[in-house]
Amino acid sequence: MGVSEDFSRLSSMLPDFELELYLEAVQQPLPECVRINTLKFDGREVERFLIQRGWRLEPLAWARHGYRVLEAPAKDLGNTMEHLLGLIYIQGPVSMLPVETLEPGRGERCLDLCAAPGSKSTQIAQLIGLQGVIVANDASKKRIRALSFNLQRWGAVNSVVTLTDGRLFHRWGAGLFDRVLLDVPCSALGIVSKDWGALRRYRSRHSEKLQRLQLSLLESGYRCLRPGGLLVYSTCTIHPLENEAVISQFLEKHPESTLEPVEHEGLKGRRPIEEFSGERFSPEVAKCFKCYPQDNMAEGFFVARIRSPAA
Amino acid sequence: MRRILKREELARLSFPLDVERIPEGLVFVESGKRIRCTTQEAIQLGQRLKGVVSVGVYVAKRIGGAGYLSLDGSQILGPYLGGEVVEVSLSEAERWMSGVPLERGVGGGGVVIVRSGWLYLGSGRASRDGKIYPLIPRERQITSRQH
Repeated sequence: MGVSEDFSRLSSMLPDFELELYLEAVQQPLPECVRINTLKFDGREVERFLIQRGWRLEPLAWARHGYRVLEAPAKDLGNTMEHLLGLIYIQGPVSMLPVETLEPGRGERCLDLCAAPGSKSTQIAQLIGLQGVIVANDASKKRIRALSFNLQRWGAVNSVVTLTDGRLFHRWGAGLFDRVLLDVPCSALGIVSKDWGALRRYRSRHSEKLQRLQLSLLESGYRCLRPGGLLVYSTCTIHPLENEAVISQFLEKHPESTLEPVEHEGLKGRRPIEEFSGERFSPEVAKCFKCYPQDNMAEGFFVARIRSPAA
Repeated sequence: MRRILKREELARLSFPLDVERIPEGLVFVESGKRIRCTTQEAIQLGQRLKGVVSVGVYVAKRIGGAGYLSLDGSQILGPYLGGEVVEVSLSEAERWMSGVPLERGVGGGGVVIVRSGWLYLGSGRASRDGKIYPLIPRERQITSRQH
């Protein structure tokens, strides 16, 4: 598998990174996992139906309604009746962690600022119930179609889809939300098994550019929180510039905010790094969750949980 | 132009609904020919935001004096349907979801709702040839598998 020079350099700069294990992991397809729809249906009925149709599922410890697929009636899960009817949502196992970290509760107002294609918005929709509202925003007109399609398929009557630049969302959404999910655009180095070309194409200037966007989105999302609200920042990359560095810079600018530990069960993770390329990060960053693809033979993710001060 | 439908208007659509049993929190909004289902909370929050593309889920469409339930509409409102529903087996459901019409020998004209047990499968148009043709968008149909 060919990797760009910049990626090679990055991998040698990461103190805890095992390049061979990483390359081995990303050459495997992602484990097939699904979430059961409890918004439109009775989850137990769906489970019984899936079993009757020949599905064999194993619950994921860190995601309510999430299952690893051990056996399915068809190879292409996206072309099954279950998927097309909205009984299930096909989603990577680790990708379910950010919403679980957000812990959206019944009746809460939630914002998913970079929502397309909608995996996490649908996950939030089912956890907040009919009294809650999920605002699913994206800046791309093209991607908003997939987002609307998936929320429709999920039966998310409690959803509002908006098409705006997330960096400006605070201008009209300030203080409106109990919870904000910020699954930001990133270099996606944690999910290259979906697109191996990403390793060949990777340039470090992409991460530098993305970091500026991520910081602006984080600032805007944070301003949308009500006092005492909770924001979850996540990426599917392994690059510290887009992970630890973003959180560290944010904490420096917002000492009034609190970084809370990310707790989960059943996923292997590792300690975020303290320094990268001469930049020393806040020791608080150790509270974030980070995993590489080789840790769970799944996606690599970074998740941080930020609380705004109570009024 | 968008307008919130009164419950009695909903009951007058061509699919008979027991509107009394529909959960209080659900609101139905008509926009052109389409009817969407959402909640009061979502409408109120949406009014404070910019760039709103959609609120809630598309559940029904009016065609002339008649109307039909979308696939998701049938799943959301199915339990409150008062009229007759065409029951199919699981294998028929799979064929239906592939866009294959049902052979039921029903009379021509009109729209029917199809389900397999508790699972509602959207609307179909009963044709004069005795078949029921699925009204399911192509992107929600099973493709390329042989039955």
